[in-house]
Amino acid sequence: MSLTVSSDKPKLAGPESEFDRFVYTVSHDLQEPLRMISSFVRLLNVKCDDDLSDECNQYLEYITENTDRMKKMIYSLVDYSRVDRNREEFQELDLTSVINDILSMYSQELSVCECHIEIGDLPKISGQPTLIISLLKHLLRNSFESFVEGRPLMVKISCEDKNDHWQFCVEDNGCGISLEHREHIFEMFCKINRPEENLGAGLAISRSIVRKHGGKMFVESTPDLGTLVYFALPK
Amino acid sequence: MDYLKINILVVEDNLQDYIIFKEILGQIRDFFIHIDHAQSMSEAIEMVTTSQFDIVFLDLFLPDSFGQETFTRIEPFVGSSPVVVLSGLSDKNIALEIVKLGAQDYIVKGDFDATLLEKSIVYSIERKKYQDRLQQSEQKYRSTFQSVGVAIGEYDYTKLKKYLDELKQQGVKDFRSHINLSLQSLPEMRSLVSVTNVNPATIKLYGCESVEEFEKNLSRFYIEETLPHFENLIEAVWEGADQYEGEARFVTLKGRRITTWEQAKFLGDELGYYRMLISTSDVTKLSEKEDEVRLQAKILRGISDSAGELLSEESLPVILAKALEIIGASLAAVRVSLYTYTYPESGPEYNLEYRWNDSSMPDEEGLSAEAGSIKELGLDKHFDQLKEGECAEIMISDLNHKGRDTIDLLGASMVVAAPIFDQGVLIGSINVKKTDESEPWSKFQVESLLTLARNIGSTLTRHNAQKALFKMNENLEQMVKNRTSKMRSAIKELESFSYSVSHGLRAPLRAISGFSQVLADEYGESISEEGKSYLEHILKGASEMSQLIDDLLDFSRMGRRKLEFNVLDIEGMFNEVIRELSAQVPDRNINFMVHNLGKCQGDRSMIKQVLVNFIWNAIKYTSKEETAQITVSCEEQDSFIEYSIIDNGVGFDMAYVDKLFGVFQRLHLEEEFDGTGVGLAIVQRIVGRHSGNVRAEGKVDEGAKFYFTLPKLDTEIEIEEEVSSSQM
Repeated sequence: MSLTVSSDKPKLAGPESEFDRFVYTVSHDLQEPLRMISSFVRLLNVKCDDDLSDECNQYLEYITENTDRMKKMIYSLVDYSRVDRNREEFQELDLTSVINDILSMYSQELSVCECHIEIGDLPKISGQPTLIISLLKHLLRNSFESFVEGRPLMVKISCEDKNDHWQFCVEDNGCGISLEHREHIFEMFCKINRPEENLGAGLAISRSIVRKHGGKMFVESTPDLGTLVYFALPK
Repeated sequence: MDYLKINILVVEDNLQDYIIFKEILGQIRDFFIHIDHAQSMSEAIEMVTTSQFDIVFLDLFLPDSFGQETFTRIEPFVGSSPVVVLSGLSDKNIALEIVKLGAQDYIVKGDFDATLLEKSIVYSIERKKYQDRLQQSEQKYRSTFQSVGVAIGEYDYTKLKKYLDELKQQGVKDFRSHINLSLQSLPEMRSLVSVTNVNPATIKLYGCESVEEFEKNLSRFYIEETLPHFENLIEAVWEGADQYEGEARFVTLKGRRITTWEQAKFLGDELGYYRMLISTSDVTKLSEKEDEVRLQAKILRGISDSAGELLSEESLPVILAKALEIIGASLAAVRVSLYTYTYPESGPEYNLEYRWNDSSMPDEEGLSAEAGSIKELGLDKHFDQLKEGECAEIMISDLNHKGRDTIDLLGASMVVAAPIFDQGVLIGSINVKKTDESEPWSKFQVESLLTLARNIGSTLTRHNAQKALFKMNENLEQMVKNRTSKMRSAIKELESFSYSVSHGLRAPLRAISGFSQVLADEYGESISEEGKSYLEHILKGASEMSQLIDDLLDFSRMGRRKLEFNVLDIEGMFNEVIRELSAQVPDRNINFMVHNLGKCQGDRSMIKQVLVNFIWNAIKYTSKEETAQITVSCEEQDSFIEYSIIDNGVGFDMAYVDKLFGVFQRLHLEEEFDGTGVGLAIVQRIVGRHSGNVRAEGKVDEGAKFYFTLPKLDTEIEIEEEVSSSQM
């Protein structure tokens, strides 16, 4: 009988996830002592400047550098937790223009590594804009940071049609990832042979974004020759 | 404004943050500042109720209150004092939310100086004053609006005004002739008007229960006879008049036609909003047709009584049949049919669901339409009418050739159809044929039919909702099962995640601790007392973080270790733990009492950690007692033994019992009792891996009771799988 009108499938509101609470409390509880340390280092600098030797000042600077680093790590932790909490509407996204926008932000890095970029035919996909932009930003940045002095960097972004999904690939000819690190690259704060500024959060966040879009991510790499990061997104 | 002396309340439980804050406040030279300090919500509430502050700075994370709640709890007490939220970087979003709730500003800790603070203070005080004044006059108006017996409503005419302005710009000069030329424009204009607010008298007049219902049904109140009034009203707007009055006719939600006297006052405002305040007086003569009203009530009761029994799928046809019968009898009809409509791409289709025939009529077969396309019958227009929520009169002359072949009018010249809606969608109609057509359908009869159809619609909606609910319940059990297994894997993921995070954070932390230790050791002598105290704070911060990260690592390792089950002499273990821990607090006076606890099974070293955490917890939270009393006992259950640890310490508020076992949750002031708050989370995880559970009972200042269960010796337990080495 046709008198039934379809109703939305019932949604049960789950409890706030343990993970969210974890990230929240960790970041909150670490930030307090961090803030405290920065503030008192600042006060030391201002009020006790006359008492401090050059060496002292050097140590204080080290402390500041490391508190800054920890702060950044906490930000990326919060970024990671935001992936799941993002409630943006899915939209049709033109990846070519997303990538060009990102590249325009990195023009300086690009010229430093004499970078040549090749963008293949990319389809339009449906995704949460902030997350997809963040995904590509992380992947491109990883490529730029793999630059080996004296070897112009080549980055190639391509896509293959695999019937029910698109398989994207970001390829570079940078330093690659050594075998021993390969298994841990998707872990948060995984330190690989990367520049000091890199926190090792990019791939963890990227994979989380891809998974949220129903896709998968994997990496192939040969040390000293380059890295291929694949991610598949459903059509 | 006189800012000579300002009383400030700083609500902040972190003493270091408070010191820094005070230090910076001290740098403000333009006015004298008196600072009071509260470290908890209860303290803060007491202070704002007993003295007057010019401004309150509020940290959102207090030992007895967290997040948004911190603001909403204190807000009713602060009166006219503005509140500025102190936030950390990670909770900036919450801070923003709270500003929306009424806080005047927020300040990010560690990211402000004296100038910024001074600005925030002055702005907040001024803004709050202005807001309060505005609110007072608004409140006065609101209370009159709500309580007055006359129906008054506030409507938003902004869009309509804009529409009219555009018409003028397009060169329309005469409003009346424009309306007459463009028939569609009035309904269109009507849709541009929205309700801002209406008072209870208005809601009642239109037969609604709430403002929402009134708002939702606004277009239903308009009937054809309403249009002349609406036209006059818009003309007044068109001409820029500032008020209007006149007679109007509406139909209420209950189907009653009313005649009213409308008085409108136009209110423009500087922001470009154009509002209209309309008072409505009911001038309908109520005496007429009283009998008919009573009859309608009776029919309605009949339907809703049977709808109340609508519990099973089987009863629906019975109820619908009964409804049709009631309609047939009350309207002296010869046949009542219930059609349903579906909407395939080729156009709407009808389907006969139920039919009621007057028993005096012969039961003919094969003559009537049972299913088909609306369009084929040439009934598009009638269908549109139904969609509008009106009754449609299908005359024999309206039907095309095919229609006349298909639809059997039983010798009557017309059928009246009334629409049935389910959540705004036209899903069917009730079609009524009368034999005696010597008297035309009265307006009342049409209205009654409409109302009855509406009732059937809501009955169906309810039926569907019940069906959905039933299905949901069926699925619930499965869902709970799925969720449990999901939660297990979520905990594992969390553990491995926290492992990599804490590992990563260790490196910079080591550098911070290392360098500050070197500074303290080698240069501590050469700097001033003040500098020394700063250095101490830095060291303290570093050690706090180390403790936190170590605990985090402990927590993350819980799931990685394989459990080894042994017979445990738990009584002996408790005694051993008590010996070890009480040696660490030689000046305390603690009475331990361990009852006969028997034996159970579990992983020895992990269970020892559980006992250590519970006993240490009890020692910690009884530190304010002259004589602490800690009792350990047990009680046998089916296949488990429940152990209890009872103390006479500070206890806790049961309202926060859920937070006890979360990672890093703390219910007490950090200064009073140190610890990172991971202990109980670890306990829960370990006991959980033994298939047991943990719970707690307590009362503020009356001690706490903690319980955990472990399997008896002969209980077979399902051991949770070890976490695999691959991450996340």
